[in-house]
Amino acid sequence: MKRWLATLCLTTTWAQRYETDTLVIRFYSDAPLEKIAAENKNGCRSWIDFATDSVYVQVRIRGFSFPNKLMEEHFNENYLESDKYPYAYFRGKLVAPFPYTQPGTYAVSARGMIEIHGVRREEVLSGVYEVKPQGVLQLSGRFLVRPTDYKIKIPRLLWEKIAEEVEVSFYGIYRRRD
Amino acid sequence: MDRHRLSSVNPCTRIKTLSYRKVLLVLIWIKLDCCSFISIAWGQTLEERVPVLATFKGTRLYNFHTTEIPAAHHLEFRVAHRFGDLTQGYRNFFGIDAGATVRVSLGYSPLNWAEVGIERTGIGKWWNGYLKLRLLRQTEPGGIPISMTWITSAFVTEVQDSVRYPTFSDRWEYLHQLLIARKFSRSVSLLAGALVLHQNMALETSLPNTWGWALLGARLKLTSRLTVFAEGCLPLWKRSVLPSYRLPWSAGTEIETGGHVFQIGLTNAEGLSENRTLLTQRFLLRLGFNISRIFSFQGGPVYGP
Repeated sequence: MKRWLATLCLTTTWAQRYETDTLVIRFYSDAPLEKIAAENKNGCRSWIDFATDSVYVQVRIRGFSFPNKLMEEHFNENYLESDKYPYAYFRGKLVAPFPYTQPGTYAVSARGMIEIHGVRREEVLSGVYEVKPQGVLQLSGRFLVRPTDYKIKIPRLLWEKIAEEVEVSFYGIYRRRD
Repeated sequence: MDRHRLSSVNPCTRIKTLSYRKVLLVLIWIKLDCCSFISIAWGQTLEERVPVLATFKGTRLYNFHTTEIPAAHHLEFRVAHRFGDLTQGYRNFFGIDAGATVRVSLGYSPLNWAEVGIERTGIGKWWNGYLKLRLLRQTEPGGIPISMTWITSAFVTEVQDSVRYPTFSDRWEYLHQLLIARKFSRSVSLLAGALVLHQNMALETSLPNTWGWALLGARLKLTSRLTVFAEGCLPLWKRSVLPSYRLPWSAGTEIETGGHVFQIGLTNAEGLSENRTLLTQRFLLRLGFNISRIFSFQGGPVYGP
């Protein structure tokens, strides 16, 4: 009886859980002296559970790839301190219930905590969802992050090289887990 | 007795209470199931093994190589300056009046584990080329405990001295280095190495053509952009071979200014190229600095907005 109930609960929750391991996160810093861009292709895990409307994203900091590897080393070593804080997270709730079974394109927002560099802040992230047949959702969006909000120290000498606000964009295909 | 009492209870109520407890249990279990993934993932531990970054800030500690090499398709341009003898004091402004001798280096990594380089040194007019191979790379958490790098350099001097170098082949010298380093913590990295120098024409008649040294180096990171370092070489020979020999050492600080690494140091080395730094005989102290800049030739799109 207990096992049967548990199985039922599991299947009902998991059928509404959508996962991705192909989430791509990019960031772009547009400062007067230097434009810096990086891409994270294989360091992200994320799921959305429509039963509870909860969203979870985990980003491996070492997964960010820069065209200039010295920059990548400094990003890990001095700015994000990935040896201390190897992951960035988002954990939140969808602001409104989402018609994830009706094909179409929808705007979606989630409110929750972003954790970067060990600092947690409440943010609202917005994006666009495209619902495709056979339990496939395509998500994309962008938001701005101020490095100083997350205690990422930028020396005064480098103010001209690193933007005050860094644009982060994300793109991923979520599949129903069943 | 107990069993008897239970059985006397109305069976309907019993099932009711039990199912209620079961539902509660299942609810708690679901709640746990939803949260467990989050709670595990919120803990900041790395789930996979990655190479340790930045054991040293640059490819040289000061006079000698470290285990670091530039990433694939990156070019390092490096200029080392050494001023005159500091021990003469204010008379020549601590060596700065004597002007600086310069060593220019250019190194390119075609692969993530191999670098080729060419250098020109003012003191002794030495040209040298080197091949630097990364043999092992320290990983964390666990895995490979050390980084290991092999360097082979060939030196040739432009100096045409029929007494010192009777033939062209006498002007060649070769240096092989096996370096081992470990980053012990965020701030402490240690370096140890074995060096073998072969001179086609030995510097002194008492000196054999081939000799070995042990290299020791350390780096202490004070802030994210400032470190202090020290290095020294111990010859693996008897003192009588070269009585005037002085152990070459250097110490200083390095500052990283986003792209550049700037090293200011003090050394007792007579030469500036490794083959002459190792064979220091005169007592002197030199102030100096190294500048390094890395250029990326790695293709790839720049992701704009």
